[in-house]
Amino acid sequence: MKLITKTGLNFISASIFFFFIGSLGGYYFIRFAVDKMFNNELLEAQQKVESQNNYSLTYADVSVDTLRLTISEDYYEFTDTVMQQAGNENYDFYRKLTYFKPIDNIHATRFTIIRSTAPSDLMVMKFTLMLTVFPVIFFLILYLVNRASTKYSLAVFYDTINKLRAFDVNKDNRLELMTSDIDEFEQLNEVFNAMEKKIKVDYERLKEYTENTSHELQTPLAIINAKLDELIQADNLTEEQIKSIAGLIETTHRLSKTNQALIFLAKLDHRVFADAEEVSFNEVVRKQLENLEMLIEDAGLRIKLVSTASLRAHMNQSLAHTLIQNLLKNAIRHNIPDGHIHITIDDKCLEIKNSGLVVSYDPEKLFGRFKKNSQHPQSLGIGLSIVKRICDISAISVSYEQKDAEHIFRLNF
Amino acid sequence: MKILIVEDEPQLAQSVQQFLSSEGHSCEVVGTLNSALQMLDGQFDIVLLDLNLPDGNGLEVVKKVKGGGMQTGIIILSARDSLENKIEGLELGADDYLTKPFQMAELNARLKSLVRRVHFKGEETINFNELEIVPGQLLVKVNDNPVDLTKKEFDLLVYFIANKNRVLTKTGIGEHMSKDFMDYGFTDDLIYSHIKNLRKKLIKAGCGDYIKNVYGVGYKFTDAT
Repeated sequence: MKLITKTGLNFISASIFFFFIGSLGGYYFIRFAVDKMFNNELLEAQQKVESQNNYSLTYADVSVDTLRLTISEDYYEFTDTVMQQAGNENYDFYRKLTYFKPIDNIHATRFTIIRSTAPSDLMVMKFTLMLTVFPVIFFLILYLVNRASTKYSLAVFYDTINKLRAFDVNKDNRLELMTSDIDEFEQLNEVFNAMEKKIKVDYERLKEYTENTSHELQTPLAIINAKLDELIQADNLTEEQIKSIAGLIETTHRLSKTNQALIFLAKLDHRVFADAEEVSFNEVVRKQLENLEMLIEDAGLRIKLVSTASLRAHMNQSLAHTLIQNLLKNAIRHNIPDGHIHITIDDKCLEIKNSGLVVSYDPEKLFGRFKKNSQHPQSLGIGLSIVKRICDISAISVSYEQKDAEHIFRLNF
Repeated sequence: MKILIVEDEPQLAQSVQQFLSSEGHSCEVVGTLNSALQMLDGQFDIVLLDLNLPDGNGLEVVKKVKGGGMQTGIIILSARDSLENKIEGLELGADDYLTKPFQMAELNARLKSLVRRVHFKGEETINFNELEIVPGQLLVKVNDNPVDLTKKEFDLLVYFIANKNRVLTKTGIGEHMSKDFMDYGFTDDLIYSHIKNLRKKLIKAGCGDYIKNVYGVGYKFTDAT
C-alpha cells in the first residue's frame, strides 16, 4: 500500500468516525431544542385553556375526558405520538401534553393537548442534512489538498525509488538523486549517494580481483598442462594410468576454458570493446554459419536462413560475431537428431529458432552464469550469459521462448 | 634449432625445456627481461617469449630482435589473451601468439610451422615413410600420388606428423582444430569422424595405418607396431 493511500485511509476512517459521532450529537441537540420549544408552546396552551377556558386554539387541539382514577393535581407528561390522518393512510407526528385535574377522590379530568410537529420535522431534517453534507464536502476538500501536498513532498522520494530501481552496478551512469527541501529525504538521498559510491568502488575492486585471479590462474594451468603432457608421453604407463591422465588433461582444459570465459566477461564489464562500427548482421550470420559448417554437418541439422531485409547495428564487430556464434552454437548443441535451425532476419529483428527437446527452463534464469543442462555436462553454461551481457552493452533486447519443442531466441534492435 | 625460453615461472620453463630437448633442440632458459636482452644475439633460431616478466614487458625483446634485423622467430606465450595484446605483439613482428595455458603438442606444431616459414619460406617438404607433405601448397602425396584432403584433414595430418610418436589427447586435438577462443564445438564425435576420414583416405591411397588409437583417450601418429 502506498504511503499516500495509507495516510489517506487513516485520515478518512478517523474523519468518518468522529464525523459520525459529531453528527449524531448534533442531531440529538437539535431534537432536544425543538422538543423544548414545543413543550413551551404546549404549556402556553395549557395556561390558555385553564385561564380563559378556551379550547379552540389555532396551533393545537385540546381534548378533555373524564377518567376514574386517583391522581395528584400537578401530574403532567410530554410524549411524542403518531396519528392517522382522517380519510387517508398517512400518519402525522405530534407532541402531546397530558395533564389531569381531579374532580373528586376517584374521578379526574384528563386534558390532552396535541401539536403537530410536521413543520419542525422538516427543519430538523434540513439541519441534519446540513450537518452531514457540509462536513463531508469539507473533509473531501481537506483530503484532496492534503493528498496533493503529500504527493508533492513525496516526489523526491519516488524519484529516489525509481532511480534506485534502475540502478545497475554495471552501468557507467551515476545515481544523481534529486535534492529536497525536506530534511529526511535529503538525508536519505545522501545515504544512498554514499552507498552507491561505495558499492561501485567495491564492485570495481571485486571485478579487478576476479580478472587478476583469472590471469594469475593461467600460468599454473599452463604448468599443469605441460606436466600432464610430459606424464602421458611416458612409455611404461598402464591403460588405467593413461586414462586417468587424459581425464586430468580434459579437466584442466575445461578449467582453463571457464577461466577464459570469465576473463572475457570481465572484459565485457570493463567495456574493453568500446569501439563501435556499422555491423551487418546478415554478413555476421553468414560468416558464422560458414565457421560452424562442420559442426552443423556433423550434427545433421538442416539450416534455413531467410533474410528479408538488411539488419544493421552500430556496435563492436567482434562482439557481434561472438554474440551470433554463441547463439548458433547453443542452437546446435541443444538440438535433436535430424533437427533444424531456422534463422529469420528482417530490418529490426533477428530470430534463431531450433528444434529441441521440450524442457522446462525458467527464461529468467536461462541467461544466468553456470546455468546448464544436465544433458550437456561439457558445456560451461556461460555462453548465454555472455550473450546477455553483449546485448546489454549493445542496447539489443534478447528474449527466449519455447514453443512446441522449438526454442526461439530473438534479438530486437 | 637453438631456442631461447624467456619465462619467469621456473616450473613451466623447465617443462618446456625438457620437451624441446627431447625433440632435439638445444635450449637456454632465462627468467627476466634484462637477462633475455643480454642473451640475445643472432645465434638463436627461435625465442619463446612470456610477456609478463618481473622486470618489464617482454615486447622489448620483440623490438630488439626485429629492430636488429635478426633472423630469429618469436612465439609469444602469454596469459593475456586479448585481441589488443595479440595484435600489438604481432605488429611488432612476433611470428605467433599462443595463449596460456597451451598444449605442448600445439606449441610443437606452431614451432615447426614457424621453422618452416622462417628457414624454408614454406617450401620445405615433410617426409614420413611413404608420405610427403608440402605445407606451402597444401599438398599430400603417398608414394608420389596426390591425396585429396580437406583443409581440416590436411591441418590434422600436419599436426599429427609434427607430434609423431607422442600421445595426443582428444582435448588437445579438439583445441587445435578449433583454435578459436571459447569454441566448445569440437565434440569427441566430431574429432573421431575427422580422424576416421583422414585415416580412410590415407589407407586408400596406399599409406600405412599410422594413426593409432590410445585406449580411447587420444591418438598417436607412429609407424611403430
